[in-house]
Parts: sequence; C-alpha cells; structure tokens
Amino acid sequence: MRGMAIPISGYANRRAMYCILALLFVSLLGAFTRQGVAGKTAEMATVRLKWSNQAEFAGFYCAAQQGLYTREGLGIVLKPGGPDITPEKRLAELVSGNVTFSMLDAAQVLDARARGMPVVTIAAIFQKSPVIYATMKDGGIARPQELNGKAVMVPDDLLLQHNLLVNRLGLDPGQIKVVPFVQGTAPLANKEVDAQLMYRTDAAVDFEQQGYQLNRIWLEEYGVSIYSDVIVTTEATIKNSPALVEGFLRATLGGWRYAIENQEGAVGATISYDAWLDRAKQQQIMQAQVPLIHTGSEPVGMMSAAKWQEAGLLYMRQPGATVASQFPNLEKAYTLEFLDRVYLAAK
Amino acid sequence: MKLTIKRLHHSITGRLIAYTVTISIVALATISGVVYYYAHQIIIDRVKAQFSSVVTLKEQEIGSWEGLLKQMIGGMVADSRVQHEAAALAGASPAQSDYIHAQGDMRKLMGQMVGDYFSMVMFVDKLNGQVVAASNPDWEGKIYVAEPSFREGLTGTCISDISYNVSLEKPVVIASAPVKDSSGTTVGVLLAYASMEPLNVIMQEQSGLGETGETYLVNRDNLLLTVPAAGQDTTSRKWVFTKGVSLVLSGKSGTGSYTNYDGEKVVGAYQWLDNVKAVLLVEMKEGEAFAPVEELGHIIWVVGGIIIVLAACGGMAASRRITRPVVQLAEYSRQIREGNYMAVPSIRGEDEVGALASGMQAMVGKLVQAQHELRELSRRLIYVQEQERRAIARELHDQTGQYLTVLKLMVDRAIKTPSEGTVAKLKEVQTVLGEMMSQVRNLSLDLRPAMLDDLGLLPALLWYFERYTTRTQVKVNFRHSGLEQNFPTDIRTAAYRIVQEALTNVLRYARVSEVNVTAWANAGHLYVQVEDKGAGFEPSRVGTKSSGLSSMKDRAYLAGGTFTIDSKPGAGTCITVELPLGSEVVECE
Repeated sequence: MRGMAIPISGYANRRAMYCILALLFVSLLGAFTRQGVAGKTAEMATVRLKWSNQAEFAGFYCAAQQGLYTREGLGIVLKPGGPDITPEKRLAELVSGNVTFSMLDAAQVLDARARGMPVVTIAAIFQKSPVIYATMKDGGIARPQELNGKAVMVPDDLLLQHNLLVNRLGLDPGQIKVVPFVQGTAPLANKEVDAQLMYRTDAAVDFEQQGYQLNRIWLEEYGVSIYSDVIVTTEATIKNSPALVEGFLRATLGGWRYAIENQEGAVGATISYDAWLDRAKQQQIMQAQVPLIHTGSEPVGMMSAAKWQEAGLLYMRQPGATVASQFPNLEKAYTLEFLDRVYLAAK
Repeated sequence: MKLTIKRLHHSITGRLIAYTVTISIVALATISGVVYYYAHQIIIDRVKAQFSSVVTLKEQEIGSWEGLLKQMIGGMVADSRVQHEAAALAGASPAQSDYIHAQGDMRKLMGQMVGDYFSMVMFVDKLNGQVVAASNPDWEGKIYVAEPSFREGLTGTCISDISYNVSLEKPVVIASAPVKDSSGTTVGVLLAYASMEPLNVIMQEQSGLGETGETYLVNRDNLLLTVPAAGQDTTSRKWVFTKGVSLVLSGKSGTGSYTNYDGEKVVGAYQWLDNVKAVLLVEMKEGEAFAPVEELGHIIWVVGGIIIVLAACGGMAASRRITRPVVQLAEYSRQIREGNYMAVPSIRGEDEVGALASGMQAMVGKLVQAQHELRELSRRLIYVQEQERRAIARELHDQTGQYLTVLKLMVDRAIKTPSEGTVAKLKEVQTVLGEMMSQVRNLSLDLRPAMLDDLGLLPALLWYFERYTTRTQVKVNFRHSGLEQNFPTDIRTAAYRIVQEALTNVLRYARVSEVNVTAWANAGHLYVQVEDKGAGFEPSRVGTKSSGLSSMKDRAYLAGGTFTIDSKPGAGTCITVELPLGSEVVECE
C-alpha cells in the first residue's frame, strides 16, 4: 500500500494544481469581462416614475431586466410615484439632486421652466397624449364643451392639462367645478362627479375591468396635443454627466423597444417589480398605450421642435401665464442632443 | 459441409453488401437532394410569381377603392346644398339661429352620406379647424387644425394614409376635400371617415392563395390595419413585428419565409404601398405552399426506401454471386486442411478464382503423388531391408551355419580321437574355416565393400566391375574422369549403389554380354551413366512398380540429385544420374 501512495499523491497534487489554474483563469476572465461590460466607472442613477408601478413604465423595467443599464455601466434605482408624489414634489427632488431623472408632462416642464427651474426634457415616451375626460356612457357628456356646470375630478398631476383644454376651447373655468382626486372608480361610477380626468392607459382600464361603459373624451382631439410621460433631468446633470444621461437614455429606449415588441415579456417584467399587480390590467395597459408610444413615424422617445412649439403656444395662451416673458427660453425645456446621439449611434 | 459466416460484416459478402448499400444511399441522397432542392426552388418561384400577381392585384384594388372614395368625396363637396350650408355656417356665429339651423341641415346631409363607404362625415370650418357639423354630433367641437387630412383638404381632394385613431381605437382612412361657397372661396373641409370594411373585403379575397392564404396591411407603427381573415377578432389590437414588416420598413420589399404575427411559419411577399403608406403582406402557410414539395419529399422517401431495399437485395445477390467461388475455394481449402485430398473444388469458370482453384488442385495432386511416392519409398525400404536380412539369414544358415556344424563335428571327433589322425582332422577344420572366412568376406563385401570407405569410389567400382564380370560373364566397359577425389560419403554410396542396381538390372533384363558405364565429376557434380544395348522397356509402364528403378531414383533424390532413364523396347536402356557435391546434399544413412 505504501508503494501505491506515491502515484496517488502525485495525481492529487496535479489535480490541485489544475484546480488552482482553472480558478485563476476564471478569475482573470471574470475581471476582464467585468471591465468589458462596464467599460467605465459604474454610476448610480435614480429615477422617479410618474405613478405607482405598472406597465406604463414597462420600458424601464425591461431595460433593467435585460441588463441594458448594466451594459451602460449604470446602477439604476426606480422609485415609484403615486397620488402623494405630486408634480411639485417630483420637481423639487429633481432640482435638489435627490433623483437623477424624473417624469412629467410637457406642460409641467414648461411651467417649471417658467418658474425658473433648470429642468430639461431628454425624451418623450407618449408621442400622443393618453389623457382623457371619462364620463359615464349614460351621463350625456360626450364633448368637453358639455362640461360647463359640471363637476370634474382632476388629479394634481393633470391639472395643468385641464387648464390648457379649458383655455383652448374657450370654456369658462368658473363653470367647471374641479373636484380633488380620490383613488378608485366610485366617485364617477356613483355620479359623485360628472367627469374625471385620467389616463386612458390606467384609470380607464379599471373602469373597463369593472364593466363600466365610458365616453372617452381625448384631450388630443380637442387641441391639447402635448407630450406626456417625458423624461426630465437637470441642466446640471446634463452638464456634469452627459455620458450618464446618454447611457441612461439609450438603455431606457432600448427597454421600451423591447417592451413594444414583446408585450407579454413587458407585462412579466412589470409584475416582477410588483407581484400584486393584476396581469390582465397590465396587458390592457400595454394594448392601450403602445399606439400612443410607437407611432411609426418617429423612433420611440423622439421629440419634435414643432410639437414643443405647439405646447409652448398652448401654455402661453393661458390667462395670467407667467411664461410669456420667458418664452424664448422654450428651447431650454428640451434637448434633442441625447436622442440624436442614441439613434445616430444605433444607425 | 457448410461454411458458416457468423459475422456478416467480417466477411467479403457482408462488406460488399455494406458498400453497395452505402453507395446506393449516397447516390440516392444526392439525387434526391438535388431533385428536392430544384423542386423547392420551382415551387418558391411559382409562389413568388403568384404572390407578385396578388400584390399587384391588391394594389390595384386598393387604388380603385381610393379612387372611388375620392370620387365620392368630390361629389359631396360639389353638392350645392353642402356648399350652401357650409357658407351659412362660416358666415354666422354659433349663437345665431341661422348657424343653428344650418348646422342641423348640415348634420342631416352628413348623415345621408354615411353608408357602405363612409362611417362618419363632418364639416370642419376653415378658420378654427373645428368640427362644426357631423353625422355624429358627439364629434362636433373636435379640433382638426393639426391633422394632415384637414390641412391637405383645404387645397384639394385627398385620401389620408391609414392611421391609428386614438379615440376610435382603430385604423382609419380619411377622405377630405375643400368645401367652397358660391363664390368659389374655401369655407371649410369635408372630412369623411372611410369604412374599413371594403378594405377588409379586398384583403380577404383569397385570389387563389389557397386555404391558408392571407393578405393584410400593417402600418408604420407595426399595427395590423385590416382583418386578415373573415371571422377573426377585430376588437383587440395586434402588432406585427415580423421579418417581412421589418424589411419593408427598412426599405426592402421582397419575398421570403418567416414567422407571421401568429407565430406560424409562412412564405410571404411584402411590399410598401405608397398610396396608403402601409406594408402589404401576402402570406401562405409553409405547409400549404410547400405541400407539393412535401409530397415529393414523401415520394422520394418511399421510392428511396424501396430503391435502398432493392439495392441491398441486389447487392446481396451480386455479392454472393461474386464471392461464391471464393467461399467455395475457402471450403475446398478447409477440406484439404482436414486431410480430404480427394476433394474436388466445385468452382466453375476460368476467372482468377478459377485459376487459383486449378492451381490449388494441381498442387494438391502433386502433394498427394509426393506423399504416395514417399509412402512407397518407405514400404520399399522396409522390403529391401527385409530382403537383405533374409539373404543374410539364408547365407548364415546355408553357408556359415553349415560350416560351423561341420566344424563342430570335426572338433568333437578330434576330441574323441585325440591321437589318431588329429593333424588330418585339424587340416580339415582349417579348410572349412578358410571357406567360412571366404563366405563371410564375400557377404561383407556384398553388404558394403570396405574399400568404398577406405579407398574411395573409383577403386570400389573397379573391384565391383571385376567381380561382376567374373560372376556374370558380362563385360563392363568403364570410362571415368575426375573420380580420384574424395566424394562425400552419401554421394559415393549413392553412386556405388545406383551402379550396382543398374548392373543388376542389366543382368536380369537386358540380356547383353557387355555394358557401358561412364562416370565423371567436376567441381559441383558427379555424373554416372549406365548404358546397355539390350532389350529395353517402356518406362511409363514400369512406373514405380520396379523396385530397382525406384531404388535408384530414391537414392538419387535423397542425395539431392536427379535421375533420368531413357529406354525403349528393343533400343536398350540408358540411366543417367546427376549428384550434387555441394551443401545441398540430403544427409541419409
């Protein structure tokens, strides 16, 4: 037996040596791979979503799930919004640097710029506005002009758009009673209010799921055609971290393209962020929002100066608008720099 | 006896069958592949041509439909009632009764225009781009100022692209045309939402595309615009991100195989239709499109299978036919190995295997003959040995024994009468002993003359000839050359014995009074020739029956030499022996 000990020991030594070499190789490979993926120092970015977790933000979830942020060397934190996270709060945390990116609509951006906030839009997810007045089918209101003398529930987040429409159609604001937002379908369904301003892609789906028949009055069709769910950041972030902004935008738009082409996958990614979400509702949200996001005429997220111009005009026409003197600064409300870079690089 | 081939693949037959089948499969696969490929190409070309004609047909039909829409909207704006009400609406404020009256009349006119081709018609005022009268009053108040169909409708009749309408949540086509007052001034635009049903009908016409053929339109945002097949769900939206759509949207129209919007494998044609700004797709499921090819494939499989089976059978038959002689040869070889020298190969034919079999058979014949000769030689050796023993025994009994008996009697007598005539008795004993010694010497010389070993071949021959002539009265004419050398023992013994045997034969059969013996030697060989002019004989008839001839032949062979005999009846006999003096000599004694 002693004679056998030598070759066994030799074999064991060789095996140990091979194991060490393999571990070294894997370690080196891992180190190179990490370097290759990151390619730069990892940066953290925080995103405040416009509303609570749902398929409305599927592009962000997909980008994270597909590793697109990681590929850009970004660590990303998605912070859900909600009724309590008002536009003012979102703007404040963005300007103070507590979040890197936030989501608003074009009117809110213009309003913020008018008040001197250095926020800049870098992309628009909704090319067509999803905002509607919902009225009960049997309520006799099918047009905004019929809202005179009626009670309309308006969330804080959409108040500016309500005002834009009232002004655009020449309605008397005093004739329309604005009721504060209450979550759920009860107020409208119970006719506590006559109309409710909402996203077609969110609250309207709740009504449909509960079997209510709605008239949907699209603001888009009554002259309030502005970008919604725009991604904003600050002038400081753009100045100090242009690579971060570009990488974030490239990953996010890639996530949206994935979500549009793989809608079931997008629903899955959404639910992975909140297991309590109703799958059927998320599917309906995707069905409703894709035509508003992917219009075919422009790449996902793209913006046009003409549409911003229209939004500026809408905002400026408001009685008592403070933006008039600052209107020439409209061009600071958005930038196409990063969209151009993302899509030029893609080409 | 049967030759059992247990492992087919280890046999020539098995290998030949395997080669035949392999070659058949390769040839068949190649031919089938080529046929299948070209059939596939032909079908693809045919399908492409068919799709191309369908695309052209659909394009024409869509163009006709659009032309009809233009015609109809043109007719509407040319209607004097429409122009009149439009002018009234443009010239009054909404609060005025004229406006309200005109709006009501216009609504009625718009309602009358709704039918198979238009689902909704509305009048949009030029100033605000706002709907002031519509077949569906719910639409009044909407603003179209940013809509391309309104803007283009201000200047002329136009048909919009197929676009997705967010409020209707479905694709729409809008026909628009300027409405002018009596003075020819444009006061607004008539917008008419076309019913999509005629477009669906156009798309759903099969146009010879078979059961699974589908034709449909997809717009730039990948939305399915028409219902591909009657009865399909029209409520939920479908986005089409197929290869065909992607290629067209990147500027490449064509045909190809890909997966359709339902995940089915299809072959399709895809083309951009500029008039409706949409992708036209003409598709057929691969299963149906390539059904003839699939059928051909099945036929190829079946026929190929039959051919392979036939090839295997044919290969087996041919292989057995080819290898049968080899198998028979192997069987013959096995029999020979087992000692059945009488076996006869059953191989027919004069090919290589036949020649090999003949050669083997000849070799076996020679082997049998050699074996027979060897056996005969052994038997004869035993016979000769017995003869010799018998002669020696007879000599000892008849001669030496007699002498010894007489000698014993004489000695007994001399013992009984020791004084009388002892000397005379002893002289008689002496005489008998002398004769006995002579007998023993002759016997010894006959068995093997000592001088052959002591003095060599030439003295032994000379002594023997002299003795032979003395005994037989047959004169030996002896000529020689080179015999003085000392030959090897076996050579000189063989030569001596052959001469001895030949002269015995001469004495027995030739009936002559003299015989010629010639012997000569060089460095390599010793030659001996015995020739008589006697009776002669036919050598082929004697064969191995003559122990004398056989004995000479055997001795020559055992000494490594050759033995030839030349004789004819009445022409005498000549025996020639050639014995080698080298190392090839076969040792015997």
